[in-house]
Amino acid sequence: MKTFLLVAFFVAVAGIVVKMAGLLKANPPRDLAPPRGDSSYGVLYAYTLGMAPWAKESTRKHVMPYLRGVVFHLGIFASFIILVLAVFNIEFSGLVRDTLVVLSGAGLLAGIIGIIERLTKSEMQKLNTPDDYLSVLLVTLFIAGAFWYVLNFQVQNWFYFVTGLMFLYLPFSKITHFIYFFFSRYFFGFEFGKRGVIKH
Amino acid sequence: MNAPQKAKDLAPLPYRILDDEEKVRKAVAIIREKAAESRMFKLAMECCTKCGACINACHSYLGTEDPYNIPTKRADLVRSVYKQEIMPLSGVLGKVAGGIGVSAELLEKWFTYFYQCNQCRRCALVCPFGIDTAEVSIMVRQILAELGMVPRFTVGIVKNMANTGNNMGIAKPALLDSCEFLEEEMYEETGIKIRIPVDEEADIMYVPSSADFFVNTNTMIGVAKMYHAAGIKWTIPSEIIEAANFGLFFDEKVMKEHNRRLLDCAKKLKAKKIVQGECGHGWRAARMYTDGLNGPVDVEIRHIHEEAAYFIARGIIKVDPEKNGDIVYTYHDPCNLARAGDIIEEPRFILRHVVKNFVEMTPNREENFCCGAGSGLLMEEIMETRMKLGKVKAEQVKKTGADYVVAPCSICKAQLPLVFEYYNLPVEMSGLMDLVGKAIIL
Repeated sequence: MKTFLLVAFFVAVAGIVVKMAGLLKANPPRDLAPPRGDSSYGVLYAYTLGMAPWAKESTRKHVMPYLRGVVFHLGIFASFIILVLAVFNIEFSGLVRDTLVVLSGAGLLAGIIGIIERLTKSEMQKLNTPDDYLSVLLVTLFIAGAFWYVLNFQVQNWFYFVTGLMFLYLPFSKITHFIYFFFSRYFFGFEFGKRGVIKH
Repeated sequence: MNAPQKAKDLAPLPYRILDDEEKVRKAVAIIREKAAESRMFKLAMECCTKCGACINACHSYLGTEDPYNIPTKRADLVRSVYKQEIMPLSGVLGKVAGGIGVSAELLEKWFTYFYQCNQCRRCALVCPFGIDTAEVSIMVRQILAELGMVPRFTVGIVKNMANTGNNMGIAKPALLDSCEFLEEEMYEETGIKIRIPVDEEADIMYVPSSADFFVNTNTMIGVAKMYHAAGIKWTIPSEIIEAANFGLFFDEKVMKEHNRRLLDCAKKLKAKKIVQGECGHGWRAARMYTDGLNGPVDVEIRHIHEEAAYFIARGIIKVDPEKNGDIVYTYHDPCNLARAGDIIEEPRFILRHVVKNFVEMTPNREENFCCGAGSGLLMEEIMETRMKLGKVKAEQVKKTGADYVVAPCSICKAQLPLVFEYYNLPVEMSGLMDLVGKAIIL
């Protein structure tokens, strides 16, 4: 199963490299305007305070979905740590293991709630494509695999299998947003900082 | 839902009407080209995770309750083509990602829904990725123009602009008559000869909205009184009495041509400064794009509110807020001033000096909602839609309890009175320079 995981991992990496090459080859947004504000501050804000819950109306008004999203992503990070520890046979226990159990467990719960929300909220149903459901499902399975693995090291193969599935689908799915995010936030911060909308 | 009617004759736009087959072929080619060339387009197409943050941020969706007016769903109309055309193994993976092929029906949907987006940018502020759907909307309208799909109203504006230098089609003799009439009005009111100079050499070239000569005349009067009181030589260029630049909404060539006319007039009149009048998107087009599209620019480009705030702050003009009465005023931030043009605090500074009672709307500044006609959606035939797009604004105004709304943008000035009437709101409205003109001590 480790071989399957490695092959899937390289497919994911190769897919990401191809996508990034396409993105970098494309022309950046044309910078037509003289500045009205500070684009550097805009970029800094976009990556820091701009992501705080009070910064956006959408997060101020919908605190619970925001927190669910944060917990879900913390669960993903924790699951990747678990994956690295598993692949390189690094033993862990005590506080490290407890922390990873909590993070991946909470992340799994957040993922399941997210799927339920997508399936039940009428407005979300209108927006979602099969890829949206499949991507969230595969990532949630990945977290579930990690969570189960930290509870029971015997289920390593199952963990590798669901992780491999996620890696195989990753380059073709919206999961790639984890890379695009950094570009997109950069342009947002740059443009809105430059236009004087984001200010010191 | 009404859709704007398409133009039958596109002249003077450099496009032609295509048959359905040609449209589809060309649309696919343009999408492929943009996917290869534009990083912004790629990001907007690839980034969205359908988190739903934009659903309740968009007045267009809140007003119409049409799911295609949810910013990401609207972008999906083009995203679905991107997925179908660009995805590897698109027959399977493209379909999984919501991909569909271009068809004449889909292009009609583009025409309907990208002309129900006010390009207000509110969704960009709430998006975790900062996806600027206004840019997608501008890009799709540009594609539609190249497919020969432009609203009749917009083509009319472009024709008027080409023939007369303004959107309303005002010829120079009519302009001169109007200026003379406004000068007489001011003389009757003040007993002072206040001029509205046209085509005179001056340091300041003021570019009003053409509507300020016939509909929003108090805006023009306010500007004339202000420059008179400040003792500054200024002029209006008869060849371009139009701050509005519809090119920004759908065609870069149109925007560039407009800006070229601005610069040529400034040169001819030996102006050192171009001052843009009360027009939201016109300010953005002039200030933010002239340099990049037509530059380098050797004249300063400023907004009339920057001028007024400067004069008031330095005591160059004196104002008396008593003259605007005891009523309660509120301020509507035009989207292009607050979310794309950095004219946010100047109007508030001016208002606090020219009126006694000012209350903020909630939300305000960069979070304010659009009036519902932004991006040139002033077509009569979509009146029903326009009223729905203005619903959130009407609710916002109602909550303030204000008697008077100040909206310094010609499009907002054309839209809001209709919205207030439609939603039975007994409020008055005008531009900001109107109130400066009333409060000024001559």
